[in-house]
Amino acid sequence: MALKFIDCNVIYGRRTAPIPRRDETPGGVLRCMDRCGIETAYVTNLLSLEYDPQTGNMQLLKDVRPHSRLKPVWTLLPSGSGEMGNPETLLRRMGDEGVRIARLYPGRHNFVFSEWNLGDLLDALAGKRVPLMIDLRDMGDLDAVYRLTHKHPNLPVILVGAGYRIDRSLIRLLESVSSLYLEISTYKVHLGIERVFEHIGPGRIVFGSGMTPLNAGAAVAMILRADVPEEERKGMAGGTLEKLVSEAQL
Amino acid sequence: MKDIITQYREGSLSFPVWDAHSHHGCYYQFPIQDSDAAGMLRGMDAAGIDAVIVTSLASMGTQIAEGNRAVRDMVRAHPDRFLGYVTVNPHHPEESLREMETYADAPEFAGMKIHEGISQCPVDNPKWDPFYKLADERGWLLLSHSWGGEGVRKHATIADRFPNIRLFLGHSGGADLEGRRAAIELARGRENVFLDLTCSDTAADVVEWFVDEIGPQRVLLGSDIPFFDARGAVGWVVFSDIEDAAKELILGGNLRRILGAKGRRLRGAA
Repeated sequence: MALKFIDCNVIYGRRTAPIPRRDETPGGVLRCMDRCGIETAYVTNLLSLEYDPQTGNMQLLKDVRPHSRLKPVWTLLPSGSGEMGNPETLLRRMGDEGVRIARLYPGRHNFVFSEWNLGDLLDALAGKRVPLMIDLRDMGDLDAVYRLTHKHPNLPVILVGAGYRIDRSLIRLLESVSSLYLEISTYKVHLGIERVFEHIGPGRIVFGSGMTPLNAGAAVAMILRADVPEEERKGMAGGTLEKLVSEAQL
Repeated sequence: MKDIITQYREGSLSFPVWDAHSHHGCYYQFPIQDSDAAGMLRGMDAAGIDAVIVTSLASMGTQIAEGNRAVRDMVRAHPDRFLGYVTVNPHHPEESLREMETYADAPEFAGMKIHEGISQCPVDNPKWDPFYKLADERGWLLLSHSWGGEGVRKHATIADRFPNIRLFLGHSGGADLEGRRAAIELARGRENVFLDLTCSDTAADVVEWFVDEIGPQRVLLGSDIPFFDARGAVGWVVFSDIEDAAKELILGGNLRRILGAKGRRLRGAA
């Protein structure tokens, strides 16, 4: 039976400096999903990264409304900046708008990824079991990931942007933090998926394509051909993410 | 005949997959695990790759003869799955040139590999000239690491001065847009230049872009296994938005044509 691919990591939207040939519209994402056999994708609008998170989050809701296969992921900011209101109100709005996953970009958005700055927001997300995506390419500090995920053990955190250059620390990090999940769009380590599975056990790897910057087929092939038990392959393709999202209490 | 995406989803492709860029050995910046022949074969089988051309990481530094010998032994043990590049370091010219002479007619080797970064010698440095001259006389393949626009443009002098070398542009400029644009410019009008796709950053539309600009006949699958997982590289091409005939060329048809008799022992050779 065909694997059900659910993609946690798609960023679409008009780029300040367009890249030749690349179709970064929701329609382009859907066409690529069709070609690669991806059923559902959790998406973020590039405006949230490059212009303003709130503007991007609102535009995102409009963009995904006509497309039931695209689900919104909101980009958040620390409550202390005053741009997004208090965490309780913010999470209520997320629930009302059908948003079930959040992202943070401490590097691009220039805020400190630490307890004193984010504790209230992470407490609120953890309380509602809302999965949080963080991108190592944006922040680059594995130790900060360790500290905050330890401090908020009920917060499911999806680590994006992990690659071969952090492989000497990754297994220990995943061993240490049971609420941490590895998204594989950049994790192209030779037989790395199998090694993570063997060391950490089932249910810790989730599928993300990394569209639109990346070609979704690369990540699809990694899961299609993963040398793991069939049940785990289904989990990697979408089952684990589906479970995480279903546990969000929004 | 089912299309290539369906074939890949259902198990295996109807044609042999050959990969122009793989490694043997270690690198200090990160672990390369399961890098022996058994680990390589496991990764290749998982990805659906029949054969790879291997280059030694040790030989780019100081263990020149040891590295090439290890590649030779690997090829001898699995002649249907591996073929080698003789890898050299121009800062040790006598030993490196001796390596080229030693393996010039050896069935285990199909060409030469250089890496200007690891060997700490730009490809347009005259120190490389004796190597290019020898490769040109023998009509060898030359796999050369290229990164960024400037890294690519330096290769023009090799392609133009040594027209018998078939230049595999390793990484085709790498992860940045300028590098890839420069790779296209280099390959345009130079029939002896081939674009190797190897990159951990399997960017959207690069395969399509290369094919649009220079055609599919000079674009090559490269996985970098065991640096990277080969499944990503194969999936990048399999799921790209190009014709199946073009995918078949990139996934192995081109390399079979280029290798000719040198590839006769590899799995799937005509």
